[in-house]
Amino acid sequence: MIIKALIGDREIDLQLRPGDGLPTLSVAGRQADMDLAQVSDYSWSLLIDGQSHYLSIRPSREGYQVLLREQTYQVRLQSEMDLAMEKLGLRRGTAAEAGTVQAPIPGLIGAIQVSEGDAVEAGDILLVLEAMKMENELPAPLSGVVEKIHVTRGEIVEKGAVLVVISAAREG
Amino acid sequence: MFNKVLIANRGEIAVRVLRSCRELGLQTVAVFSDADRTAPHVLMADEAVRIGPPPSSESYLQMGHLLEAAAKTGAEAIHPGYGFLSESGPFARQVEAAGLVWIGPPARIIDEMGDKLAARKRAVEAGVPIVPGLDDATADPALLLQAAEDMGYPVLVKAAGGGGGKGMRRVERAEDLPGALETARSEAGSAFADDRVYLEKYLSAPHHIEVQIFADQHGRTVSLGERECSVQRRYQKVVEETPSPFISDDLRRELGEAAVRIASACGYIGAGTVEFLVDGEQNFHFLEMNTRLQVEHPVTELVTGLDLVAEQLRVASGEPLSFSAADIRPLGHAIECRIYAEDGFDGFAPSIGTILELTTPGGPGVRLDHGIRAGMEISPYYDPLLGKLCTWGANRDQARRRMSRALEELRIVGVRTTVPFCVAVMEHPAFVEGRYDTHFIDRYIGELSRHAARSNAHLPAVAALGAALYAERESPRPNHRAGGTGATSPWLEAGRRRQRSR
Repeated sequence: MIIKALIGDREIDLQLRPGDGLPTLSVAGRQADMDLAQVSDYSWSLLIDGQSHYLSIRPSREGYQVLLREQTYQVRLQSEMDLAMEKLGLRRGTAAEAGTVQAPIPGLIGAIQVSEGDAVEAGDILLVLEAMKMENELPAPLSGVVEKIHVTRGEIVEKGAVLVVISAAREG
Repeated sequence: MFNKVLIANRGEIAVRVLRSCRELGLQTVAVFSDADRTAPHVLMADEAVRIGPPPSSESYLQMGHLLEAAAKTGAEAIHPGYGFLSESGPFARQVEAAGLVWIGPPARIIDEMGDKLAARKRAVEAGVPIVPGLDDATADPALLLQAAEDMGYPVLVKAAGGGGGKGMRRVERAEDLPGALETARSEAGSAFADDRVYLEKYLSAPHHIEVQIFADQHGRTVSLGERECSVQRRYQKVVEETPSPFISDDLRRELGEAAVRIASACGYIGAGTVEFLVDGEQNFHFLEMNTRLQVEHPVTELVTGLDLVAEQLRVASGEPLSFSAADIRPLGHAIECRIYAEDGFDGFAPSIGTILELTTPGGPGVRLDHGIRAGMEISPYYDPLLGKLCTWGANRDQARRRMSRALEELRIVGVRTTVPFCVAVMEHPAFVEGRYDTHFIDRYIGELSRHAARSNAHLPAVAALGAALYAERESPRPNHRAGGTGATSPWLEAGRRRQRSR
């Protein structure tokens, strides 16, 4: 059961309760009337006590991207399980390495200057990201070995896409 | 008139030009790069010709490919739209040399007015004030320093051969001038193959107001009124409106007369725009002339009832303008919002991706010019302008409210757009009251981004609820997400992906 949502740094307690079909929403101690109907592949009509909302929803890297009125919201959802694990200090994937190089802006992958297995020094240029008519050279964030290259030359990537993963060199 | 027109452009302007051609019964030829094989302008045209790979330098900017496409299809005229080759004197010359009709001013006028120093000279001859500056592309540092000293800092270093903010530098102090000159020269050299730069006095908080003019080959030059273009970021326009809420009727008349004098002085033919900077005391200065159809021409069409592309076609074929100065009686108010694939609240960072769904607004007083469709990929190869939403109202307030309403109706799913930013502009007190200048965005960006959160305080909760209900509903479905990492529901999977990719 999903009980919490995060939008930016804002936490929203969803007050949802498991139901037979859709979960139900509790508003001021009273059960709200909810109806979610699919409009098209990505769009939905949500009635909450008769209030009409027209949403477009799609899974995204961040969780869900929801378009409502003219605004886009990045929604991350947390279930009871997620919260329990967080309490125990078991945040999923905290091992997310510092060696992950992401696209700072959307663009086109230009020359890739390293291969998997190469040893690199912090600051070495890994690849070129072409965007807004500029060539942006992306450096290695730390010294180590190129573990994985996720992109190929000529590929178009979105902001935040993982491009290269470097595993840190062992000290000593 | 000619019978077949090749449109040497893409996106919303190619669609816009195509529509007028069709209304006049002309055959249309679209051109496309490999990235645009199924773009709307190709789908709508009578004929379509491939002109090369995605990069515009290998397709839409290839003069030879365009001329070959015209020869192959028997097109008799070429409309360049805006951007790309629309202000290229050499291309206009090649089109004419190939025996085709160039839908734009003659090459010699493009060359002359494209050179900012020559254009300033024309303005002075026409008795129109120009922004104070050093009208000499000198390389002598002592002379430049002296001139900057005389006009007083801050000054602007500008490229003689260009526009769009390239090769432009604002300089506050004498010690920064040599460095700024050097960067501007190098930028201008690579962008326009012309490294001449000159100095202009930097005007604080000016309004950017332009006048649409039209001239035929029979000596008639007419002003179609002004457009206020002061909502800008990095010297690029985001919102335009007509009439300007700022200038007096006297100044409006003066600007129109000045624009017609400049156009007449250079023997202008076709559609053109004369840009002015107007300071807080309503003093005006000639800035530059654009020798093409402007992006924002629809607002002028909405208040005048004219079809500017149809007039361009008429003028190019030698016919007289369909109207005279006495016929121009603008009615009501029009606003345009540019819909870019950019996040207005994240420094206008470009957004790429696939347009998954498109729902367009309608109803009274709404016009949408766009060149996108559902399923179309927005690539980083081209200008991020997806379309232009325009509204007309009997007065400014009605046009503005309509714009807010129409922006809400416009749903583009798949890429971030400037729609939310434009809504915030429409509802900002300074815009509501018509009190804004070219510093509007810089000054109010904080307020604009907070506006959205303030006015829709309950919507994040609705969005969160929608996402949660969606996730619950979709979760039991197997293979909902590719990958199969054993996640029990899509939100868990999405959460993991996010963590991994940190």
